[in-house]
Amino acid sequence: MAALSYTATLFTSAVVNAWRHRTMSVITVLIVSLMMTTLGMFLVIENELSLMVASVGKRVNLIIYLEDDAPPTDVLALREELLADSRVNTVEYITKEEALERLRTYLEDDPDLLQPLLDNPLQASLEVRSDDPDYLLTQVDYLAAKRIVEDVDLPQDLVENLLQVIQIVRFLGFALGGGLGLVALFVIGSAIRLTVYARRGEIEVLRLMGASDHFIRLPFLLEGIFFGLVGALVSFVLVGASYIWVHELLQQTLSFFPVSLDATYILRLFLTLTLFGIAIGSLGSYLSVRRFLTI
Amino acid sequence: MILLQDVSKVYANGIYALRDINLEIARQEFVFLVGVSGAGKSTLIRLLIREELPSTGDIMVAGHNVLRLSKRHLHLYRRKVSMIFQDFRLLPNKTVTENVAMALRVANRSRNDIEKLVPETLALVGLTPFADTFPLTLSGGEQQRVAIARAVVRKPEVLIADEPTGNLDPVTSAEIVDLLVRINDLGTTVIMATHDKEMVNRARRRVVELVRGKIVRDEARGTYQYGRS
Repeated sequence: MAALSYTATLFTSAVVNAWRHRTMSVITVLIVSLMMTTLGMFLVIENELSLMVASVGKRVNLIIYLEDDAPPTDVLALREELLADSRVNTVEYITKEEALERLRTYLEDDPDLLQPLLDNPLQASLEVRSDDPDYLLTQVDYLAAKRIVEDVDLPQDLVENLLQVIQIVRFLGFALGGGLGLVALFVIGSAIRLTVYARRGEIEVLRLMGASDHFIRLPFLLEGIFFGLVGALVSFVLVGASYIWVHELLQQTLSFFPVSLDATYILRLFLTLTLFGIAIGSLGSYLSVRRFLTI
Repeated sequence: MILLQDVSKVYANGIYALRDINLEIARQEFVFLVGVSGAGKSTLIRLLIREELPSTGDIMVAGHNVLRLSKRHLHLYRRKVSMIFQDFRLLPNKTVTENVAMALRVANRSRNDIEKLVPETLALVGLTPFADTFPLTLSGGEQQRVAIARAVVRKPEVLIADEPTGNLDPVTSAEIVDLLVRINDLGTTVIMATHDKEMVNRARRRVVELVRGKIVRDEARGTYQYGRS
């Protein structure tokens, strides 16, 4: 209890310090928020795109069109081989007849179109389902090279493009987030340095009274954590709001996109930003205190 | 209690701030450290509280070899040796009580200790009515009493006062010295650097005089003989 009230006292004094040079504090919080908002936005975009890829991926069937003369044993062997990989969910064998039946169902309204067919021109195929579009992509060439395979079809472009966009988003997120992270560190450090300077008399007195390093430094660390926390909260509001907004926009424009708003994701976002804020706040003030507060 | 052996302090420009100081101060002694500005009083004090290290020699204070104190143990040493200053150095945004309590809080003393010792000490220095006021609303003499209360609330073994009456009028100065004498009577060794001739002559305590970094006089019941070499 005593330790708790002591920490509360220290935290209060940290907030009071921040208030004393509020212009600098506001700038610090703004920059931390900007950095964290950027990072948060990229996290959200990356998450949405990943969900989209997963959702598109579930629909994507890698279709292996088989040669007409493919021996059934080889086809079965190929099916076993595909199923052996844990990333593959199902492999369905579609015979020529089934393929034609599907086409008939599909063209129900225009049965005339199929009239001229004397023979069944469709091929038997294996339809592979996987949640991992990346994996399917890597298998295309390998499968196409097989003797019993005539052709391999994958709605490759969409998946490939999405994966590329995710890569770019990740890279940009890391680069911008990292760069802004450094700026935030620097700004927090400067704000703390200002407090250290303003309180140098007090620090000197405490030092001569026999205060431990820990006792003297803690309020400054807490001030940095305070900046990080406030920045995190501001950015969470911004990012959370835009997450909901982007989500609704996506659902309106891309109706096939079935993912519903995820409350646990918002919670995860909150925790991620808060922890990151605390981390960057304490690191920034720690570095500054270590440099400018000689005891 | 305090022992300096062959202590010299030479600065980088070759100037001796202190030269061959040998000084022994017993437990519960009251010592005036006198001398003109630049004689070495402040340097001597800075060595005693280990703000600086001597160039040569040994310093023992309250059972500690001051030269061998590790950085990690320095703050523990400083809890045994308290200081007061000419400019009081109080925390302006804390009340009198909080200022005094701070000395106990930095030493991780319990709330019970704080609640018991702070009022006791404020009573000792005669500041009970001002417990909840802020230092800047007090007179210089009262502020110095707050500083003294803060310095002695932990019952230090040694109290070092660096010109504590330098900013005060003669009457107030006399009251401060009386207070230091009372604290000395309660068992704390007191070392007081001063320019104040009247005060030294009146108190009739041990006087150590420094001239250009050397001890030129050490009298058991001395007076202030300014400028004698």
